[in-house]
Amino acid sequence: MIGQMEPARRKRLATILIIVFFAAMLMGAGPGAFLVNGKGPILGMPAIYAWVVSWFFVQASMVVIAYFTVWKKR
Amino acid sequence: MTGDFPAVCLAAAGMQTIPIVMLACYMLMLLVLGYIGFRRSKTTEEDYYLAGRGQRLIVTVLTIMATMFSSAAMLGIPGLIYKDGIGFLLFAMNLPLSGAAVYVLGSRIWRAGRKRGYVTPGDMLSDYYGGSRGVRILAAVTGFLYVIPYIVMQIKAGGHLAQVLFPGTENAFQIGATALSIVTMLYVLIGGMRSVAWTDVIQGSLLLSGMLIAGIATVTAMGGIGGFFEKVNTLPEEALTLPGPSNAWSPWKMLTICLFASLGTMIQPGQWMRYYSAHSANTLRRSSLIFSIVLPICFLFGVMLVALGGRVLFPPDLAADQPHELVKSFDQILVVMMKEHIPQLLGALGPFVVSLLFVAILAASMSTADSNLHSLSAVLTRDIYDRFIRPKSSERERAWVGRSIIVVATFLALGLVQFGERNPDFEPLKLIAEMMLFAIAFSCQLLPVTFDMLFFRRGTKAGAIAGISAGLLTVLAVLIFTKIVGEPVSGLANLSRLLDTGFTGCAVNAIVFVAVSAVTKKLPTNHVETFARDFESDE
Repeated sequence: MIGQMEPARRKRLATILIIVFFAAMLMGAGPGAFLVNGKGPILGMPAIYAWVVSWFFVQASMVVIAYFTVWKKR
Repeated sequence: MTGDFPAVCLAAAGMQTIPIVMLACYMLMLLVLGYIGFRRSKTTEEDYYLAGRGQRLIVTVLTIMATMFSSAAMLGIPGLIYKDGIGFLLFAMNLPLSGAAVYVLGSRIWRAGRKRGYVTPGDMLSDYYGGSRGVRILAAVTGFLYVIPYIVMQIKAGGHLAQVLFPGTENAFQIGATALSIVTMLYVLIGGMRSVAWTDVIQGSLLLSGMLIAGIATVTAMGGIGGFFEKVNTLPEEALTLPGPSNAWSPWKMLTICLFASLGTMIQPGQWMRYYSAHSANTLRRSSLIFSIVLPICFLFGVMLVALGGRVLFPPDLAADQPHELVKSFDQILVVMMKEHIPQLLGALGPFVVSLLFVAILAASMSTADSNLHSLSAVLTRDIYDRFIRPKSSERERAWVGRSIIVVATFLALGLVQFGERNPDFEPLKLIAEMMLFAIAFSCQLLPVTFDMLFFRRGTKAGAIAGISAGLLTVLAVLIFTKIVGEPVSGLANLSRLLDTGFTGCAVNAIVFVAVSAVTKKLPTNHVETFARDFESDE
C-alpha cells in the first residue's frame, strides 16, 4: 500500500481520517456524550463508559489506517 | 473491611516485608542503570541530553509513554473518578490524539532537530522566529511552569504510597517523598538521558502491566465482568452521569481538555527532546501506533475500572468533601483497593503482586519526574545560562550547571510538597490531577507557535512573543483567581468550570498571535522555505 498511493488520493484519505477522528472525539468526549447521559446501562455497562469505549475504537481504527496508508515510510 | 484495615490486611497477607524488599531492589536497580548509563556516556552535551540521538523503537516508545503517564495516571485520575464519578473517564479520549501527535508533530521536529543540531524546544522555536531571544526565554519559562508542578505531583505520590504502605510509621509521607526525590535525582545526575531512557523502559513496562493487573484484579474480585458492572450500576445516578456530583466535568470542558491537554503534554520539553533523541522518523511512526492503542487500553480497562470499583466499595462522603474513612485521601483509592483485594484473590502470590503494583506506582512517578528534571536542566542551561548569563562557558561548565539545576529543582519541588502537607487547604497543591491540568495549561501555550512553525508558517517574531505572553498571563490569572485568592472572581471561576484553562489560554494566545502577526514584519521568505524543506525532508 505504502508508496503506491497517488498524492491526491493520499491527501483525500488523510482528510477523511482526520474528520472521522475528530468527529469521534466530539461524540465520545464532547457534547455527543449528552446522547447517552442519564440513560440506563448499555450491554450491562454504565452508558457513558460503553460510549467512550466505542468511540475510542473508532479513533484507534483511524490511527491504524493512517499508519498503513497516509504516514509515509521513508 | 474492618476499622483497622489496611493494617489488618497487611498482617494477614504477610506483607510487612515483601514490599519493602521489592521497593529496595527496584531503587537499587535504578541506581545501577544510572551508573551503567554514566559508563556508556560521552562527555558531550548532546550525549547527556539526547543520548546521541540514537534511541531505537523499544526505548523510544516506552520512554515517551512512561514520561506521559505519571502518578496522575495511577493515583490522580483514579482519585478524581472516585471523587467525582464517571465524568472524568472522558479524559481517556485524549490518548489516541496524543499518540498520533508523536508522529504528526514528532517526525517534523525530529527532522529539523537532526539537521540543525537542536537540543531544546527553545533552540528550534527561537531559530525559526528569527533568532528571537524573547521566544527562547518564553519557551524556557513555559517549560519551567510545566515542569515544577509535574515534579511536585510525582514526589507527592511517593509520600502517599509510603503513607499507605507503612501506616503506623511516623512521618511516612516525608520519608517516602524524600526517598523518591533523592533516588530519582541521583540517577538523572549521573547518567543523563541514557539513564533516564533505560530506567523508563523498566518503569514503562511495570506501569503498563500494573495498570492492567489492577483492573483485572478489581473486576475479578468484584464477581467478574457481569458482577462488577452490576455493582457499579448501583452507584447513585450522579456518579454515573455528567457533569458529576461536584458539577465539574461537563462534556464541553472534557472536550477542550482532550483536545488541548493531549497536544500540550506532547510538546512539553521532555517529550520534545524525546523526538530529537529518536533514531529515525520511522521509529516515531511506529511508536505513535503503539502509543495510540496500548495506553488507552491500559487506561480504560485498567485503572478506570479500579476507580469505579473503589467508589462502590469505599463510598466517599461528598457532603463533607471527604473520602471514605478508610481511604486517607482521594488520591489513595487505587492503593487501598489493591491492598484490599489482591491478597484475597491470589493467596500466597498476593503479596508479591501487590508489591509489584506498588513498584508500578513508584515507577509511574519516577519515570515522569526523571524526564522532567532532565529536560528542565537542558532548558535552563541551554536557553538561559548559555545564552544570557555566560555565553562563552565551556561544555564542561554547562554540564555542571545542568547538574546543579537538577539538584536545586529537586529540593525546590520537595520543599513545595512539604509546604502542601503542612497547609492542606492550600488549593494548588491539593489534588494530583488538578495540578496536572494546570501544568499542562502552561505547556499548551507553545501550541500556537509550534503549529505555525510546523505547518502554517505565517506568524512573526513579535506575534509569537505577544501570543505566548498573553496565553501564559491568562493561565496565571485563572490559577491565581480560582485557586490561590480566597474569594474567587466569579467570572473566571465560571469560565474555568465551563472550559479547560489550557484551552482558554490558548484561545487568547492564538488571537493575539494572529492579530500581532498581521501587522508586524514577516519572517524572510527564504528562511521560512528552508525550514519548510527541513521539516518535510527525507531522512
